[in-house]
Amino acid sequence: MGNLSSGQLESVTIADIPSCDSSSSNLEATISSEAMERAQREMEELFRYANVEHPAMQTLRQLCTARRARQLSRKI
Amino acid sequence: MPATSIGSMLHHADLPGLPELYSRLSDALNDSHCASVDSVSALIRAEAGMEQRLLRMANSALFQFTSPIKNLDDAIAAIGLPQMCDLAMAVMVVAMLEDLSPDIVSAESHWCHSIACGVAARALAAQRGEKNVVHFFAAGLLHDIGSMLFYVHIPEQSLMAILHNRNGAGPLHHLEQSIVGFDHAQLGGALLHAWGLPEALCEAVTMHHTPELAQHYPLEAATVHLADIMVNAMELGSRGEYVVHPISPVAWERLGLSTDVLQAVMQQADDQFGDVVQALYRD
Repeated sequence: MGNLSSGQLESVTIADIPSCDSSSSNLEATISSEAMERAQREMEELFRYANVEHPAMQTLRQLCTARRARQLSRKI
Repeated sequence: MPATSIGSMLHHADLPGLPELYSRLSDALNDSHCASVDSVSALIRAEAGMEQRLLRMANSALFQFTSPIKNLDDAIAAIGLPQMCDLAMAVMVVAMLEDLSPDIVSAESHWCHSIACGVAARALAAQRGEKNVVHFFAAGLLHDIGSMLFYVHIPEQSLMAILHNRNGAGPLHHLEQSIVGFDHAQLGGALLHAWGLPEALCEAVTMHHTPELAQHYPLEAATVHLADIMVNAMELGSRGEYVVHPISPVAWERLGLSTDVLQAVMQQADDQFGDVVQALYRD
C-alpha cells in the first residue's frame, strides 16, 4: 500500500490511497486505521502465492486492500 | 469412483448432452439464409424456460440497456445474433448443472465465483474493444465447470486436495494434478469439447491456469486467467480455494492492457455481479 504502513495513520481517506479514486466512496470517505491494518493482513494471506512484484498484481493488491478496508470500515 | 483418466471420468459422470437447441442455434447462425431474429427467436421459444432466463439476462446489469427489454425479438436485436447464441449456450449449461450439489464445497459460492469471473472477463474484453464480449462472459462463466465435476464425482480426492491447499501445500490445481493426475481445467475443457462447444471456449477453459500455453485462442485464455485472478482477489464467491494465483506475465503482455483498467473492471464486477447472479442462477 505504498505509504500506508500499519499504524502509521489514525485514519485515511480514499483520496489518500494511491490509484484509488473516490467515485464509489464519497459517502464513506473515512477508513479507520484498524480497518486498513486488518485489510492489509487479509490481503497478505490472500496473495501469498501471487507474484506481487508484477505491476498488475501490485495494482490489484492495492485496489483490493482499499476495497476490503472500505468494506470493513462499514462493519466496524 | 476410480478416475484414472479424463475420458473415464467423463464416461462415469454420465452427464447429459447439451440440449439440441445449441446445435440448432449454431446451424442457424452458420446458414446465412436462415440466420434471422425470427428464426433464432422461434428456436429459443421452443426450449422450455429459456426465453424467460434470456430475458432476465438481457435486462440484467450485464447489458445496462436504457429501457427494459420486453420480448425475445427485442433482446436478440439489441444483443446481436452471435452474442445471443453464446448467451443461450451459457444459460443452458448453468440450467443443466445448477442442481449438482457437492458435499465438500458450497455450490452457491462456486456458481457465484463462476458468474463473477464471467462478468470480469466480459469487462476485460470490453476494455480491449472486443466485438463479442458475451463470448468472453461465457468463457469466464464456464471456466471452473471441471471443478464441480471433481467435487461431485471424486469427493474424497477433491477434499484431500482442498485440505492440502488450506494447509499451504500449494495451489489447488497443482494438488489436483498430483492427487488425481489431471486438474479441473483440463477436465472442464474436455467436457466442453465433448459437448461440441467452440474450440475457443474449450481452450480458454483448459488453459485458464496456463494461458501462456494457449496456441489458438491466447486472448480468450489470457482474459479468463486474469478475470479468475481478479475475482479471487475480490473474494466474489469461491470454488473452495482462498488464494490469488500468480499472473502469467505472458498472458498480461498479450492482453495489452494498462494497469489503469483494473479499477474500472473491478468496479464493473462489483456493480454487476449480484444482479447477474439473480438473473442467471436458479429460477
